Amino acid sequence: MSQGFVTTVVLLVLGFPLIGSLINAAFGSAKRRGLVNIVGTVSIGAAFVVSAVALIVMLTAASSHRAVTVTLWNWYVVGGSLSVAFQATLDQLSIIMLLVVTGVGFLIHVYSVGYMEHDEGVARFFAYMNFFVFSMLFLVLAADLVFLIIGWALVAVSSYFLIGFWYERPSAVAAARKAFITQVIGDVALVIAAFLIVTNVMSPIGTHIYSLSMPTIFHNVASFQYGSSTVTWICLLLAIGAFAKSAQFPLHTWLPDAMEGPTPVSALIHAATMVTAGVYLIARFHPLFDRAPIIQGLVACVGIGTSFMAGIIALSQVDIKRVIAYSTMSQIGLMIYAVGMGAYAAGMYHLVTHAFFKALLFLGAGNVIHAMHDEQDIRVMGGLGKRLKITEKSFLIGSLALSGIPLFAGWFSKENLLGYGVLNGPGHVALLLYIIGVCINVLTGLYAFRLWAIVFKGEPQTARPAAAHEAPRIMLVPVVILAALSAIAGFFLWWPVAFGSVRVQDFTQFLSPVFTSITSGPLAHEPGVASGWIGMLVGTAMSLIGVGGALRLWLRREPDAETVASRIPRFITQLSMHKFYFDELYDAAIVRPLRAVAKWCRKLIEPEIMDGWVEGVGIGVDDLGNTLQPFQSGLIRDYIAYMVFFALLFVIIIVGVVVR
Amino acid sequence: MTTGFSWLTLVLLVPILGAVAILCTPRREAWLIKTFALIAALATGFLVLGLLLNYSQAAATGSPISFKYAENVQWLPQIGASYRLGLDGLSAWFLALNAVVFLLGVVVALVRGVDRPKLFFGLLILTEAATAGVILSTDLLLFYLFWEGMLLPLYFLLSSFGNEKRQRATVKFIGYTVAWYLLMLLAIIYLHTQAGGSFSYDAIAARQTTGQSIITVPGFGWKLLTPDQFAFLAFALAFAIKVPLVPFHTWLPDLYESLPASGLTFFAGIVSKLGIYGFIRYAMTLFPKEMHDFQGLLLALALLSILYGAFMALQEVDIKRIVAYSSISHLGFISLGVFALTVIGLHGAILQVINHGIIIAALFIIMELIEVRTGTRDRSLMSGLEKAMPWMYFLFMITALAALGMPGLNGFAGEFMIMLGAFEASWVLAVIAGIGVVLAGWYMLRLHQGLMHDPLHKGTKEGMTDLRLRERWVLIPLCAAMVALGLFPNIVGQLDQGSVQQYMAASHTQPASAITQPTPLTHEVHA
Amino acid sequence: MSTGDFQFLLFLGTLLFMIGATGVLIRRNPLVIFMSIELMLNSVNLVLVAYGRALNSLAGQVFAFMVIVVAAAEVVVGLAMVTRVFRAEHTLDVDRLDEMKD
Repeated sequence: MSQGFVTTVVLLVLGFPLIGSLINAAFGSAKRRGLVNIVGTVSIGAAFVVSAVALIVMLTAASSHRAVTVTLWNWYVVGGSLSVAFQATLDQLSIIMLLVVTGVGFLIHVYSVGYMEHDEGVARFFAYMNFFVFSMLFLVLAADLVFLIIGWALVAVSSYFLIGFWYERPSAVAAARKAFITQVIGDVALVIAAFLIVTNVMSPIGTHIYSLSMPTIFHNVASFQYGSSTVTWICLLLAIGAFAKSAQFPLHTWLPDAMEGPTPVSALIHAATMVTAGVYLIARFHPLFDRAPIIQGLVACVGIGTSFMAGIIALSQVDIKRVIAYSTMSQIGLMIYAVGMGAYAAGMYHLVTHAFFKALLFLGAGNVIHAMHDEQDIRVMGGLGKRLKITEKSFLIGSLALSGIPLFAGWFSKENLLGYGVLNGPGHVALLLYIIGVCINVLTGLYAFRLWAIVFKGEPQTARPAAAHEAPRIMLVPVVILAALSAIAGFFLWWPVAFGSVRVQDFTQFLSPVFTSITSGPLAHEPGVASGWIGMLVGTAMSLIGVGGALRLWLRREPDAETVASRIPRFITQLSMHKFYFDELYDAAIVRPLRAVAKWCRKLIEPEIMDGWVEGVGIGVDDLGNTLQPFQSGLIRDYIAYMVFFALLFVIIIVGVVVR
Repeated sequence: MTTGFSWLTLVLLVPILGAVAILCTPRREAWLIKTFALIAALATGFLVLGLLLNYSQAAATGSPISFKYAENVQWLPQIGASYRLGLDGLSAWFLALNAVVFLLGVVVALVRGVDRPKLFFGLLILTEAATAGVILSTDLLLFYLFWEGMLLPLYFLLSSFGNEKRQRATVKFIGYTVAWYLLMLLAIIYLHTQAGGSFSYDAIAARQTTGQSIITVPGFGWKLLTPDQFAFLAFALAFAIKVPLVPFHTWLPDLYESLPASGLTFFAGIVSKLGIYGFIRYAMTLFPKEMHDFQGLLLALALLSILYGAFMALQEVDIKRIVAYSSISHLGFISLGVFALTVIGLHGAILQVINHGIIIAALFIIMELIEVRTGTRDRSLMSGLEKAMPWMYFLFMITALAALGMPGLNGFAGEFMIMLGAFEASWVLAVIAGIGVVLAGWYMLRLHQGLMHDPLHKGTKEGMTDLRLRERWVLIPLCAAMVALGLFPNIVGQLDQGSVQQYMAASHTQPASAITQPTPLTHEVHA
Repeated sequence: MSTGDFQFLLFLGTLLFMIGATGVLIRRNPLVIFMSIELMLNSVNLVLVAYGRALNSLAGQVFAFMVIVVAAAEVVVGLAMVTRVFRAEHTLDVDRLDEMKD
């Protein structure tokens, strides 16, 4: 691929959504709904076409020539000490992200046309959505740290816009702010990581010029010693950034609240793309992570821990979108676990399949909410399968893929990454993590089919499900396409498929140049599905147990779920229902103390101390004036008397001193 | 020594002539007064633009800092004072910002209207001349005259325009500042004696430092401070008040609260930045050793400003005061970049001076436009304004994001460089500054969301209108500048490359001619 | 001039000065105050001339002339002011002429 071609691709891919966003912001309105819809969807569709063309061109190139970095312009140059340029990379990793973001994004945009049909703010909505896609593409194309940080933060801010889209709802406004502040914490961690990197990486030509270009950094990754404290700190900070974006413990609390946004937003941002950026980040920085084994272990543990916790919470939630949100958190935990174990391709693979089936589940949930007139509580649903036939079938496929039932997309990716972990991880710890991992399989099956069973099966709990009607066609087509992808993507991505004269290769093999060429560090080989047979069998069996259990508890209701729940120790169910009390904990440990400090500054420090001494000087002068004022009687006689008095005093003193 | 045309004098003369023209115009000819003001501000702007564009071609003189367009006319030869002007990469940007914010002040005053236009515009244009003089002079006596002279038009401006609290705030500001500036005058006179009876910047920078301590604690052999350290502190205090660094900041919220936006654009935009300018131009290069002696203290004050300003902004309810405290926090960032004493930090500081000048002007204009529409400045009495004013929402959003350091906008470019420079000095600085960034996100969103989101407040006035066309066209260029400088900060970075190197070189070494003697630090024990 | 004469003149000057000062302090009529001031000035003149004689210098007499001229000028201005004030206020009590105080 030539530099010129890549520059064109980058500009087009970024340009279409940005221009779409600007057009909608400037000229869009509820009255010009047709224009808004067309601009909003076509811009993303065009970006997808460009990405697909780029993929084809990339596949025609030799494997070693597929990664190309272009410099767009100089951002800031300080002669002799710093050089920051805007650079973009098109390589195997970024093209996959491009395709996922624009492809799934396009489907969700089409869906939004139907979903937002009656909303007054449709122009604003599509402007924000396009802007989000632009930001996300910006992020995945970034080839220097500043570019990356900018993309990272643009994603956060567009997510902020979209979560708070219905700005007249106080809960949405608060959720948006919470998400944004959490993201800013991640941004700051990323910025400081960038500082650590540039000040420690050896410059290419032995100069002292700081370069923030990621290819340069990875090229000189040998400056970081394996296991050194520098690289450990860097990776810790990068991991914090990734955790904030990917809603991992301890920065996870914003994601469920973010469900305040419109449902297509949840599908696009909080399932398919933005929240997976953390996975992408760790995969992108794998040359550094490979050198920080402690952080790799930490990342893997946090991932699996978050996944398990989210799975438990998902079991007790009653808001349809929150259940899926926790399921997202859980699945991203698995991806984080994978990239922590060094299974970068496996993590990316799950990212892609997850994008399909999770977007599908959210859009399906959107159909349900649409049919129920903005009702999200699953306790008032039930029996919707009869009215929403297509949605129900699609939702079922999504749940099957999510649970990891054989031959659905999720099965390939999930068993792959779990199998990788147990085969390549260090001994007992890896085994322990694997055991937790297969337990998560059970949880996944349980909550996925709990949701499906409660919403679509059984008897309607209220009269409202009976009045529900299926979504319009424009909302069904994307759902069906995503359902098809969820069903077959495993084959599509895993096994060689004829693609014109080019063979789309095995996903892992396609990505392997990214994950092996740069680093000389210890990197294990990724296993095929075949090498993990036993693990896969166990995992699949656990998934089936989960699904079967869910169907027994919530579909056949023997035993009934409530009876089973009453037998579980109360504190576990309470933890689950209250989301492990993290919101309360952060409120008490961070938000309130900070507020208290601020209040203390305002009530005490500022008036009493800071301003106190200034005012004190003023008051002192004032008092002095008041004391002296009576002497200023206005009578000349008094003044003369003072004069005479002091003159006499002076004379006496002089005489006293001199004479003596 | 004067070479070619006296361009810099012209920069001073144009606004002065404008002020004279306004003075000669009868009060009732308001349109003529406005025209004169606009012409003077525009002419100065174009003049400065021309100087910047030709900057690289101009001849440079002097050491340790080389000045371009230098002028030197004998003034009081008996005491070694001259009329010396010069422009370098640092002052060029301050001059540019100066021209921009005063032009903006005139435009805002035209858009918003102002009572007693003759007084207002005359004083405003006069202030521009004074601040330009501070920026351009390369003679310390001249500098001091402009520095104090700036207060004269400012006093009348501050005490004549603004809300009912202005008298008190003005007295506080003037009293606060004048008192300490006299100390600076003493320090300048001391430097004058040290430099062999010259007030010239070059001569003082090349002076020999004695390093003898003047206060000795008897019995212990402790030597407290050298005269140069005293002089440095006098300078530093004057600049710290101007910036202002916490705890010398209390004049600022009161004053900013009482001023109208047309005055705030240039007051917050350039006048308070002159403290930063003073730190770079004078404190850093005239006292390289002392700057290092007190670096820890100054850094601590900068960090304190960042955090303290942020905490105050978090609790404040008056929207103008929130912005005022955010300004303190941001100026803490700029100071951090200066005090880190690294090339990158200094670059970041200069960049951020420009950025913050634009952002803070836009914020105050927005605050005033909101206040005019809602009739209140109390944050708790406003909400949900987005619905009534989408334009306001959009432009305020960009400005708020730029203010909170959103990557991609100009606030980030400066803060990134400052934090990188600070990180080079010590990672602790960058981490604490990072906390400041998180808090900035919090308080700016609190302000923006609080005003714009949630349901419309019950007590809001009926019939609020969105920004009118001309109000939009004041804000749109500012927002465009925020985006442009965020993506292409190199525009700023290229001009000052050489000068920043010179400043850093000057701040790291003693002048070559100086015989450096070991100077005792505070509490150094002599055995 | 003997030392005794000189001391006597100094005493006389001091006495006249104190009388004049007391007059200024206790009298309310501006005309009388003027006279008292004249007395003080002339006592100073006396001392100046006495010193000039004792030190054998002309400076004392020169200064005395100077003071006389100043006193004359002062009386001219002062009496004019007193006349104007009386016409405006119809009183010559200095304690009641405190308009400028407020």
